[in-house]
Amino acid sequence: MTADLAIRLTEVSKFYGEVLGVNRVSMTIGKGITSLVGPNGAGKTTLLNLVTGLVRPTQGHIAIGDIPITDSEVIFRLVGYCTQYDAFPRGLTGLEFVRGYLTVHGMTRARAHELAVAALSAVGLLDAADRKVAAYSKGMRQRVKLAQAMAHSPEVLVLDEPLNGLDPMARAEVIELLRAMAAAGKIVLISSHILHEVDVISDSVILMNHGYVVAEGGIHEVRQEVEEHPFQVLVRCDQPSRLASRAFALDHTVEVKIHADARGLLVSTKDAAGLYRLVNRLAAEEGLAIEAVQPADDDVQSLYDYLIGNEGGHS
Amino acid sequence: MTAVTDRAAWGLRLRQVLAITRLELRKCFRGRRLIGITLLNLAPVAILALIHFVPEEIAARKFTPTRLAEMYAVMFTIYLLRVGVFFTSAALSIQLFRTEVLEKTFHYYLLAPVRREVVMAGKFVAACMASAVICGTAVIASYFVLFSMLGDGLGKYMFSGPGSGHLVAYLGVTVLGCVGYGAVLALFDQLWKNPIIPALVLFGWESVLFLLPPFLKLTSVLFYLESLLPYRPPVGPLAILADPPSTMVSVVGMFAFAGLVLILAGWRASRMEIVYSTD
Repeated sequence: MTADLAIRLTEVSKFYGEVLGVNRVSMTIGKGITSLVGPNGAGKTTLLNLVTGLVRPTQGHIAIGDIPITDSEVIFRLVGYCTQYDAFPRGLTGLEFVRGYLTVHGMTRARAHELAVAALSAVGLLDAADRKVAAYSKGMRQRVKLAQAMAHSPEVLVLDEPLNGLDPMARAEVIELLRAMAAAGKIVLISSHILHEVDVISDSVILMNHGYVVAEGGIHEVRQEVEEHPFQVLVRCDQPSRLASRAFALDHTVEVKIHADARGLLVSTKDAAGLYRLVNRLAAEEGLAIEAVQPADDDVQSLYDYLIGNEGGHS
Repeated sequence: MTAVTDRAAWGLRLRQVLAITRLELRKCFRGRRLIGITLLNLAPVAILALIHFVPEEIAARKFTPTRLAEMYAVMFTIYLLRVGVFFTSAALSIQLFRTEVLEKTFHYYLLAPVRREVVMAGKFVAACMASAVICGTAVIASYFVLFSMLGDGLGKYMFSGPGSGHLVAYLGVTVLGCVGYGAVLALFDQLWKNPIIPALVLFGWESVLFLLPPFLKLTSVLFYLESLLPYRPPVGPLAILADPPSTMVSVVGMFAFAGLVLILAGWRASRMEIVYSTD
């Protein structure tokens, strides 16, 4: 079961009356960290709610492994979901909140307590475990929700904007936690608008807009498919003018900009591999001193700009 | 093997119902709403306490055990049952079902490996237990405040007379009222976004029970509850009379009705979607 565990969506659509939530989504989300990116109203939360059974698809089928999402008694032993809703039952401490919902799994109070303490410890909230959730800061509330979602060690962790409200240190800790879960072979599906962090943590991305999946896959693979936008390659070297003239000789070079400090250049090309070959040849055969070569737009931010643009800003 | 698996599944569900009940009971016994419910139920205690200001010689002549039993029956039927039990059940039911959706906390249950019918059952049991405790306390307190008028005769009335039997019957009717009204109001919570209006319509319906023709009386919770009262207060000249159902029909029927309504509410819950923004 765990070996080939994946979230499978087949032709999934969701309409709220006449309003489109998501439309004809088919995909398989495997192990590792997958990030959902898109503007407000793109359908990210709807997709997460569909995957966790909080809303039902108007059409299509969703399963985790071979278990349909409607089988709540089984599926939620595998899934933990940290929603975007910043709401908690009144009057509970952090420990009571996490432990209480674990007892709903059917665990004994002692076992629930043990797991709740472990989860709160993992998110760095053990010291505040006996304080009322209502007295928590936004970052603490975010972390206690995360603890609640992961306390039963789910194989699939779904997180809606998990980095919201976290200070940089807490953010780094949560990212480490997510990485550890992914490294342990779990499926981590997150939606986030903090694109540079998505870039760093994601094994793959799903770009959504207007309820449609615009692109999905590894960031590099998706970038390769965006052919209408030339690749931007940054090269830092000692003879940028020489490299620029040789780059212009290549058919696929679109534009070259030499840096003001005359120590590098930015090349727009439709064939990044061809440019890399040229740089290698110049370095090996003609003594060009290369300081750095790196893609300038092989990241989520660029993909977002290319595929979604400025429709509604980042979400 | 299947039998064992089924038994284990039902054992698990029972544990889940108990866990949910425990969580929900905590919610019932906290918050400002509890103060309002308590004051509503204890109001008759304060009113009945006024009787102690009646001069002793008049009281001794007027307030015989039979007269006090009549007074209590009127107070119980008109206020404790129709108002106290009804509005306590309504308030707790709305708090446990609808308020959770409004406060965007209901999804925590839906994200646990538990059938939604089990969630409904746990919440219903908690609402019934809480309302039974609150209303039962009011019944006991008001009973003793009134019958303490008997002075030294109270002990005799309770243990040698009908006192304790009547009190147990009133408590039984109170618990059954909590079950019956709790079930109907839990269903209202599933059927309507604002269950207050249908709850008030139900309250109106129950209030005009005495005017209803016999076949319509059968649709009233109060009709079955009143048939179980140890002492039935007099009805007005406009009342349309009907044969009361037997004790067995009333008790078993009320639980069966509650079970049926719960199944329906569970079915509704199983189809529920969490889209808080439009709720």
